[in-house]
Amino acid sequence: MSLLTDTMGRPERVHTLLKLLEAHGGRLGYDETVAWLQPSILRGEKNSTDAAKQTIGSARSLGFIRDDGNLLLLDAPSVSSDPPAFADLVHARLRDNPSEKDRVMLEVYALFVVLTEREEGTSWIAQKTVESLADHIDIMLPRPADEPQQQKVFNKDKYSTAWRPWMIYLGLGWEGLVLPTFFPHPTVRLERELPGLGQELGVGRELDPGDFLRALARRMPYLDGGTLFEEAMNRVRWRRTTQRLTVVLSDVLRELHDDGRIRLHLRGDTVGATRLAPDPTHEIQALSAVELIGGQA
Amino acid sequence: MTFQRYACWDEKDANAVLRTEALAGSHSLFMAVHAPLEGFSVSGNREAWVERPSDKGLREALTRPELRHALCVVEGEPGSGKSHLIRWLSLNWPKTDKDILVLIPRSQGSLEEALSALREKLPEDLRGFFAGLGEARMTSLAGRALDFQSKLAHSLRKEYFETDAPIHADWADEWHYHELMDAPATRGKWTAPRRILETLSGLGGERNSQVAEFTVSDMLELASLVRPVKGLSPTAVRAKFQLLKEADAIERARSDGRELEQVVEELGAKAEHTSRLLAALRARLNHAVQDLLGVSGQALKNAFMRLRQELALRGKRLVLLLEDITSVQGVEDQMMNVMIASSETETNRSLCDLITVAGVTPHFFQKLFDVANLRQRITFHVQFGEKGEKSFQGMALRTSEERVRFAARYLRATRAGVARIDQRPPRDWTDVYNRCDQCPYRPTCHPRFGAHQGVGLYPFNQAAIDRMYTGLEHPKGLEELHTPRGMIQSVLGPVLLAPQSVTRGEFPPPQMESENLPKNERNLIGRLGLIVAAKVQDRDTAERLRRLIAWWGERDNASTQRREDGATTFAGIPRGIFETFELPWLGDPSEVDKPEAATRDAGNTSSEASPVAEPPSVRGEPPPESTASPAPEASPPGPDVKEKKPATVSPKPPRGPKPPRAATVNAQQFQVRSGQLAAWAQGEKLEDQGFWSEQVAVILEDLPWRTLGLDPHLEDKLFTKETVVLAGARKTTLKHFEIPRERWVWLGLESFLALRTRDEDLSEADREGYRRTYARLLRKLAELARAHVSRRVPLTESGQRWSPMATAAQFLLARAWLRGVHRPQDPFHVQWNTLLDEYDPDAGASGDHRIQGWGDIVVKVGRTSSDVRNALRELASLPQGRKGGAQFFAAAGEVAPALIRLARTLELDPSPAEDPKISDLLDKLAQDAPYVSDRLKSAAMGERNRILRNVEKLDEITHRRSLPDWLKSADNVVARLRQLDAHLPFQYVQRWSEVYAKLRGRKLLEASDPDMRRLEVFLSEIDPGEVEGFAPPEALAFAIGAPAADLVFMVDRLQVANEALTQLRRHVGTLLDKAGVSSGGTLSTVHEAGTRLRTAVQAIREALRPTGGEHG
Repeated sequence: MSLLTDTMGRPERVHTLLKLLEAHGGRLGYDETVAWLQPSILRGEKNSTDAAKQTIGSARSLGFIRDDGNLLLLDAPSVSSDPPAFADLVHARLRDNPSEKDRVMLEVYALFVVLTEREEGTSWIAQKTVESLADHIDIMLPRPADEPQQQKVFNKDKYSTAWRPWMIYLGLGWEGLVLPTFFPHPTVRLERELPGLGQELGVGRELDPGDFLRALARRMPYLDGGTLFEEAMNRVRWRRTTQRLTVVLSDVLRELHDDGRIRLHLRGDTVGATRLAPDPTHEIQALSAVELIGGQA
Repeated sequence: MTFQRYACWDEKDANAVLRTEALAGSHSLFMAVHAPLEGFSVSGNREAWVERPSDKGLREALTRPELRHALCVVEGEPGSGKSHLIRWLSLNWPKTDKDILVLIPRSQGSLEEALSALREKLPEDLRGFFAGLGEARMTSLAGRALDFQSKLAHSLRKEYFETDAPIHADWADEWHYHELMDAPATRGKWTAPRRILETLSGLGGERNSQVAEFTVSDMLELASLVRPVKGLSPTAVRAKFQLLKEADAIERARSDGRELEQVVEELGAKAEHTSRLLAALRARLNHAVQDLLGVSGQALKNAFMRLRQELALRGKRLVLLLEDITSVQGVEDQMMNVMIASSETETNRSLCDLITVAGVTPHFFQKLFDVANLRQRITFHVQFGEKGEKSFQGMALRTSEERVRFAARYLRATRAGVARIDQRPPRDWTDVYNRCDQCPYRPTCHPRFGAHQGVGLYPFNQAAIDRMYTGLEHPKGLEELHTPRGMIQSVLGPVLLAPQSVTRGEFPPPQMESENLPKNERNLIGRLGLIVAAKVQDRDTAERLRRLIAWWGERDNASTQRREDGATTFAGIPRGIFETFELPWLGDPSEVDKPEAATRDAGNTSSEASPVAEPPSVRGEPPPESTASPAPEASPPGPDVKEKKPATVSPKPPRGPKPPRAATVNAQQFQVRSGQLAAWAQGEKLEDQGFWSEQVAVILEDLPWRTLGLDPHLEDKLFTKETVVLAGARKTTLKHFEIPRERWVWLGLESFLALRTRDEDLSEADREGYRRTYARLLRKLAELARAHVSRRVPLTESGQRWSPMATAAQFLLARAWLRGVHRPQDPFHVQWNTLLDEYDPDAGASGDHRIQGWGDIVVKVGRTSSDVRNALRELASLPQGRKGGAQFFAAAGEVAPALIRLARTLELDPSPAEDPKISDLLDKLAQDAPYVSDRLKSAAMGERNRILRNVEKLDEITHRRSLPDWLKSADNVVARLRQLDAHLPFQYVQRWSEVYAKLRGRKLLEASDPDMRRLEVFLSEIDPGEVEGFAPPEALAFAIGAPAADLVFMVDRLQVANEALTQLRRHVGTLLDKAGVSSGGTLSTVHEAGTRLRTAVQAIREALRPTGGEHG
């Protein structure tokens, strides 16, 4: 039972399950819940309720529900109707206290960030088939403590039907016609984290890049300097020889700067400044301060 | 010694060498740039005589001794090389005593100057034949234009011509068109006469073989000018109105951009006057022109004939080389007569032999040789090009190699200089001094810029020559510029005439972009433009870079690459070229050139011309010392240079799975599309809005809608190619999803196209960059789409966003309740299941037996229930993937609260205050839901009340006895009465019997009937007082649970029965009353007796009931 095993338990389904339980006062019989989610009239010949069961499984894995006999109890704070707000909740859960098996979700993402940095882009994703990509990731992942001999923790089905939808839902990347099967691009997520960063660091003043990056690494530990990022570096067995931000983070910071959500400042020359990954199309190649803009949602 | 700021040619020399008037320069210069002319096609009645289609081959054929008469027509677009060939024939015609060679140059393009040239080229003693023809006059152009218009007007009268008048003479005369043409209001204002005269006068040397003629536009202008004219004869007034009517028709029909001539032709009889007047004026043009110029066509013909007679007497042959026959327009018919008159025929035996070579444009060729008879008289028909569908396609400079070869000839001659060329006239271009042979920069220059047969292409490179030439386009589309003249005037000239821009470090100069280089070809595409903008602050330098990349390089390639020869390029331009022009290197700073390889030479042979001492006058500037200022600094090198892997300069990195290829755009169109976006981003109107709307719609469709929390059902309805509009493309309304004119849209769409159509051609850096800008587009589009959905899905009066899914579920559930399928207190998941069931489990329950309002709701919802159910299934579906899957998964979290709310309040969620205009079905749902919501509670309460009333009625009738007992008892009474009284009123007995039969038929008679049992239970359990206190949801549940139909049926029947029984009782009472008068008994007496008897029976039963017993 985990987000990667219950592949039919997609994020929007888990969200609706929690809303269903909330509508019933936070408790509902297991069978009733299944009947709500997969009405018998539309189950088809196989009368399958796998999707409902796996959605319940995903919600359990995230710790949002628990069982009380034959009842399902909602074990989450107030569930917002707004999907991005629910994504915040899921992100916080996966970051702060994921189940043993769900920890892999953000660990894999960290690997994508690190490998994209090592390969200087995302073509390494585009060049691989879904199967080979999943295998490539799998060999770098630790085996669970309770199943140290487990052959695979990640495969193409988990990648395509579970991991990727969750990552997109969390605002960590995209898929699309002209993109690799997954394109790490956490702008939406970082934008969602800005109010929290603002509360923590203050808005409207120039922040030392180190302070900003440390706070960011706590909120998004799969990015530069975060715990998951560092672990991924170890797993990839790769050390960067230069001190600059990753391709993924640099792009996000530039994007939010262009959108006016943050300001990247460079005072004086680049000596001592934090360098961004090169982008010849952008005027900002380094920063000496970051300013969070107030009044953001 | 730095190869910078070095101009190896002189402006004056460039000016002399690049003169496009082929006959204007010196013989030496002509030969200095001449290369054998080959590849043209030859036809005609003696085409076989031309063994090789080349300049020499044609000359051999034309100079064969046995050829006594020849008309050689050289057909080609202006600038295609006709003049060059004729000039070459002139210069290389065999020197004999027999031939009198007369070359009539294109010169200024006027008839007067052509005749003047003719006179000058003849031996002095023969010039008299042409004396007085076309001599200069004192009248101004404006004066001549007035005369010309007046002459044309007069020539429209029938009696104007002595001999046969040209076409439409009777018609024009009949309609008095001379009045319109010569109306004072039009004199001097009609531009056509002046334009024609200007063209015939050579347009100041810019005629370029233009034909002077009237057009449909001239007719339209004339019509507008005669509109206010008054004082015309009634006939002319009718002609005026006819012309005006036709002008309106033509204007209306031209709206789709078709050629006016075509429009007139298609209008046929509806533009008859216009068409006839145009033809009449064209037929009279030459006559009027001749009159004006003082050149009588007949006089010219006579002069030529006399000349030929004289030459025949002298044993000479006339060789007439007419560079451009349009320069004799006005007398072209007579000239044709002269040229086709063969001395070999009996009637012309007295004329000398004549070889004519005449250049003609394809357009004028059609006009001159409009009959087959004339075409058959052409001896050699040389064609520079071939007829395409619409135009004449030139044959010169079609390949890159041809273009480079051509440019190299002019570069070599320009660098050699006029003085050196004149000093030792060359045999051809290979005989010209090659300055590159002595140049100290050659080892650097040729690898950087390329060379052809030892002639460096500097300051061009092969790409610049190709790009500029192939891009040539006349701004008004009037001229074909892909000709040698186009190359000289618009490619070589603008660059070579500005050597100072090189020496000043300002190359490439602004003036190199002539008006014939299209503006949309000048922009740098996508990332390239961004890189220049990000790295170069100085505007002039940025502009020089733009020009350099746009024409010398690849304006859509932002990558650093390494060429096979080891040179590192950015945007396809070697780093060395940036250095030579002192421009900042924009490529990867870590990439350095490998040692420059052997000379890149576009030709296959080296120039072996022996060096000649360079005259001081043609040396040009000495090679400069290294005094040039350093190139402007580009932005600091990017970090991690050392980590950069060689793969980043590889033009074709290894690839993964290919993305889908677009069906609508190919790589060749990418630049055009990119230009459209760039122009739109800069505030211009977007071209081909339909295409772009479709692209955005495709991208939107590709968004993971469910994952983003957006309803795919709304995506289908709100984001179609019809509703998606890029800002400024057209007027928008609320229904449109307007994409703002912002940078992220421009770059994102460009990225989408680049990745979709050119992915395999992109460098790794470009591909990655495009992915990032595309991802940004997705993010912003998703934000916009969410906002648009919020706008389009309106707020309800309570301020909540309307949920079509919740309303649809409530709508269907209300109906299900009122049809008795469910009661509100049933398990919701069961009710939910029912709502989705297309087989309508209780199709018979229509609500007919309920109060009016109840049934109305059932009917109202029933009209759309099937469609709403289908929509609900779609709205509430959370599929596994983009294409769904076998298993339906419900958005129960949104549905459940809605159903629970409805069950608690009997109120549907508020509908939007205004029509949401999403889809017909959802709009209808929004309209119908309030109807249900407004009536549901009152239906529940009303039905509850009606049920209570019916119960009360039954109680009154039966006195609370059980229905079967009461019915049986009553039936017994009726039966007994029938036995006792033969005169019992039959109609009441019959009415009772009918009721009784109906109740039996409905199985509502016996206590054992299930429906009767249910009714009896209901009646026995009901507590009217309690029910009256029910809130609406409980009242609804009560009403749904009540056997309403049976109750109504029973009440109706028993009311009828009771009425019948009442009548029978009256009848019995009357009988008793009658009998009582005699016996003293009345009906009251019977009643009293009965009451006493009943009381006694009850007392006995009470007495006999056992203690604690259940039954008596």
